[in-house]
Amino acid sequence: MKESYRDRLQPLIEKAVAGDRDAFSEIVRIMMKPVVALTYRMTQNREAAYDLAQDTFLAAWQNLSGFRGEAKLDSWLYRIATNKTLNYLASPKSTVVVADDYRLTDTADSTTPEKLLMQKELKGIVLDFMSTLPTRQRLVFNLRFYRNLPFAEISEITGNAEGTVKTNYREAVKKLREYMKQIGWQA
Amino acid sequence: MKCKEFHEEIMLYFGRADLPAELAGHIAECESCRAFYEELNGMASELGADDEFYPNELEAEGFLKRLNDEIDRTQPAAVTSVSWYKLAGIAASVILVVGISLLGNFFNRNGATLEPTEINTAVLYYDEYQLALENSDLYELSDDQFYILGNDYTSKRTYDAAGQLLEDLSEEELKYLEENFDVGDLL
Repeated sequence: MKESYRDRLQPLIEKAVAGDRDAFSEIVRIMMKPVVALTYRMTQNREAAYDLAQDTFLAAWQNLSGFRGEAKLDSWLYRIATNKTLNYLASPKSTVVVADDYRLTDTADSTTPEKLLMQKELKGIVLDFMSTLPTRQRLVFNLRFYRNLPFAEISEITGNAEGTVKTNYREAVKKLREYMKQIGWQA
Repeated sequence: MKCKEFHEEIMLYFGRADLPAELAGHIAECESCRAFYEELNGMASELGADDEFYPNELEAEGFLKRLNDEIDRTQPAAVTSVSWYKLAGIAASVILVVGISLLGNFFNRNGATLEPTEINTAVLYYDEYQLALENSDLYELSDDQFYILGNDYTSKRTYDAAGQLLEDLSEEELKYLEENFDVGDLL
């Protein structure tokens, strides 16, 4: 996550911990996007992604008094979202979905229609690829490749040793590279 | 290090500005590693954007409204005198999970107390054990994890005993739990 996000969160945390709903709503506004992106990439199911994100923020609000200031709020939220998502994926109600609605919304900047279509296809293909990764690899790949988090932080979020996290990430990158070669992608 | 080892490192650090100095130096000198690094960087730049999954403004406001409705429906508010008792109850149940031997240390004022890291580890084991049970992936647990959790969690005496334990805890012990637990691990 970009540092500016953390800068924006910092003044809100103390107020939210003290029970300020407006401050908490602002935190949700800031963190909703990355949390939804994480849960969506993990589940590839729009409805489940929003439900899990909502559960995450609800749990965060209800337990904010236990939040320790020295921890990073975004990491804490990712950890809650991660636990909820892993539980969801382990439950019988979760389904393996090859997403055809892989864009929650189209927020692309100005670009040619051809390029937009190509990017859409590419990202849809990558989502399909990600659904084939083991859950832990997918999770680590999400947190590193898309959220750019340090391995030590991913280790805290996932509860796996840093070495395990690195191995998971490396394996996912190897597989993605092979996959991209297979579909003829070139840098 | 040889190029093969640098490749392993590159797979961990591509797409970032903060390359380890040794790796950055090697990439500058080695054509093969530089090509590999640039290939992965290209992949990150093509696929690494996160915003395509973000909710748009309308979805975001709807999300926030549903969340606030849910918070109103499920009060308690974040800061209440009861909330950390609830936390302590959960914490106590988790402590039970890891076994009488650890509890013995915790309550022995003349001996070693349970370190926060041990509690966090116990919580991690607990989460992983639950997931493994649901997945029937018990092989994913290490022998130590399986041993620690298998003894107590499978005996189904976690939550019943937690209530009794909570009544037996002194204020000092409850405070210890409050100060040393990371709630994110429990959610």
